[in-house]
Amino acid sequence: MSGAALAFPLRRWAARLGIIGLGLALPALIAVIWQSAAVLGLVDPTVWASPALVAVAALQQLQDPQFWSDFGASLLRDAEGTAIGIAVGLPAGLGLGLSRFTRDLFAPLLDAAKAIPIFTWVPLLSVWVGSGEAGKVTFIALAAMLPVLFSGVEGVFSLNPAHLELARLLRLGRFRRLARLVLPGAAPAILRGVRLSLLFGWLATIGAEYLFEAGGGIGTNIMAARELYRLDLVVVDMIAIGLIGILFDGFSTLLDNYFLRWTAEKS
Amino acid sequence: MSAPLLTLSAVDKGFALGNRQRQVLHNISLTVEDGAFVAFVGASGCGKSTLLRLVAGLETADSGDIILADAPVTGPSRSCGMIFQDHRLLPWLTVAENIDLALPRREFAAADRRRLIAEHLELVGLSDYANALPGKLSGGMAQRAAIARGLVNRPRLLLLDEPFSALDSLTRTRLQGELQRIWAFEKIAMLLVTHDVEEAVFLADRVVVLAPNPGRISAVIDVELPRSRDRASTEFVALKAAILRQLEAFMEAPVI
Repeated sequence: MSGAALAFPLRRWAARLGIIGLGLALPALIAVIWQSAAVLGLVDPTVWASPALVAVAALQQLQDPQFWSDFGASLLRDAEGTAIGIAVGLPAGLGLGLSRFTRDLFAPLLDAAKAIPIFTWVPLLSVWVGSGEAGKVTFIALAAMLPVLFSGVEGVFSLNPAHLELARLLRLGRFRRLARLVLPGAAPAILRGVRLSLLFGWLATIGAEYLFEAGGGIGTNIMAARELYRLDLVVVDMIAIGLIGILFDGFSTLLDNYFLRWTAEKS
Repeated sequence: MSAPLLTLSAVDKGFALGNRQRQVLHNISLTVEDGAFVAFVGASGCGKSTLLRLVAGLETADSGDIILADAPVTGPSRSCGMIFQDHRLLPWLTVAENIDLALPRREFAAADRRRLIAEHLELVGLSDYANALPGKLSGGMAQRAAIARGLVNRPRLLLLDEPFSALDSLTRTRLQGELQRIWAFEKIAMLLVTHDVEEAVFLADRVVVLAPNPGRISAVIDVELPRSRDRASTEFVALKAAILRQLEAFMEAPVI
């Protein structure tokens, strides 16, 4: 294999590693300053869970089956709720966007819904579906549904009128119009919504574990750690939550790269 | 004698402009025979594009009749294809997939679709770009792909709404030559709307000069020069100058 053929991917990987390194530099710097402050006795290491304590706690947690079962419970709950939310919100958004009548009909209701904080639904959901697993999943579904619903409406609304006229001229059938024109044309907006839905669903998962009755999960884990005044454990959970968030964002980027590959083809 | 392919009788069209009605086309009557090439020239605001959109069935006339292939035009139909100033290719579909959109699945079997697409890609010289995305094409190539899409379902009439006006002059001249070749080969009627008098005289059997405000037919000029026409010949230049003089008569005094 020639050197030139190797050099290109190598250079690309080096560049990619450089970007990741840059992204890690700031958290590392914060950890160093924090740890120094703790070592120098500037802050109380139990109140300000020092990075060293957090690292020790993290190693403990990784070996604790309870942590993994909580982590798994949260992920499963999130997957259920988000899947339901997107499955309901996306078709609803596209449907609302397709006609001016439905758009105008629903606009005030949806604008108001946007402004209502999601946790105000907790009392209602607790009564309607109970405060156990069903309540939590419904809460997560509601949180994940809204972004993709709005982005569905926006996506259809932002379709190029010239393309819609072309569809009329070519007498495209209902299915072809949807598959060839509406969905791909609305895809940039839809995928922005999906990215937010994944994030909101995850935030709502942790929130639900706080706000509804205890039933396992990272949120429950955090509350238990707080009771014990183990702030180092709280920070470990926070980091785990954040890492999952990064994972979801990466997944969204994969979706973008696949469904929006035509946008990269502009010469 | 058989009926003409397209007949417009006393067609009027206006648009609401605020609370006033603006007349865009007035009393347009015209017939186009099968296989004819008719060009419409006129200054902006003479309703040329509206005229094509009426024939395409994208707009409805306020009064008058439009009969295409023995049937009144009530909406877009298979008898009629259209090319716009912009290529209007869907950027997320390949060139072949874009052309395929013009072939309704109910009317064309998969094998026929593949064959027709390949034939028409070859006709416009894009055989090597079947799987390219439109973003990869130059303006001229994209407009060729649009022409292939306009022709692929074998319409009897192709409408061209300033198809080359966004292209550089070299590409434009080349595509005018291509269009003439395609017209002779496909033997279908074409209606071309253009600002470019030279383009009209080069391509058309008949040049219709439109007067503006409201748009109405001011002159119909038969072009009887033999094809392929020499743009530098005395007859060509004289005809072009005569039409330009007609058009200039409608131009308003320049506002300084």
